[in-house]
Amino acid sequence: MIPLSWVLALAGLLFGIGLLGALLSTNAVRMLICIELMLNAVNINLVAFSRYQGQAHGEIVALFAMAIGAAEAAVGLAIFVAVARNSKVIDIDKINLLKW
Amino acid sequence: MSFEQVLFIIVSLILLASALGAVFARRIMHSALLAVAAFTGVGGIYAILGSHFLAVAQVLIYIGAVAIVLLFAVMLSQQREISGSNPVRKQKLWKNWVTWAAFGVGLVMVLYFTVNLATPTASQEIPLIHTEPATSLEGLSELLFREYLVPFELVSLLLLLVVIGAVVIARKENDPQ
Repeated sequence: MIPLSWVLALAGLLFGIGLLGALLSTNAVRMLICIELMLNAVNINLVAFSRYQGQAHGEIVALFAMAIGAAEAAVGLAIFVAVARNSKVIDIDKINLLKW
Repeated sequence: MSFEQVLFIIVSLILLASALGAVFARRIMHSALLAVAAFTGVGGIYAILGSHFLAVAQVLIYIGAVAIVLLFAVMLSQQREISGSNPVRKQKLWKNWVTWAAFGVGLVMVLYFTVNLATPTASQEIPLIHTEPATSLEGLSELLFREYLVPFELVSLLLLLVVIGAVVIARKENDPQ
């Protein structure tokens, strides 16, 4: 028996850490890592509410979120590899080709 | 406190510490490895909450697939920075007060609401999660392959497209074939 609020606090803190890292970091790979942490925090919330209600719907949604998070990581990292090949560094302050 | 609660607190502390380490580690390689530790901790949380199938899926997807992709991306994209320069902006980090203020406000709100939820009022009791695995694998698969069949197939299509797209994007442009 674990209080629901503990799990919610954990997920909130993890999401906050991920958001902080995504806003502060200039390295694109690190930013993607932080986005993955945020996705994991959301999944913890989904699983917690699903287990609290005793239904499996939330777990299914968490499973889909995992698959889509993996897809996003694959495409994002492929883009960063392509950018790194062209400009030798992936500092997101310096990637401004699409800036108007 | 029961054994599960103690285990939950220990795993949570490890998870949060490695997440903080992933954000603030000096080298991007350490950051990726600490993120893998954080993913493992999330899998442990799923197992403690009694959602065993998701714990296994977390290990397979995040620790198996995403971690390898992260490490490959670090290896392929950090030719200059591999010898120790710091990717986190050092001087601006503590001066970025808008981010820190938003983070602090969010933290206070999260803790306030959760403490509020954890304090029993006269009318309601503390919401608890039963950790014995109630939703069986059978029920989960019934749901996944009946009610959520169309999203399931769409996700498999998405994964196929992503694999092709990632190969096309990351390929060298003037490859002879």
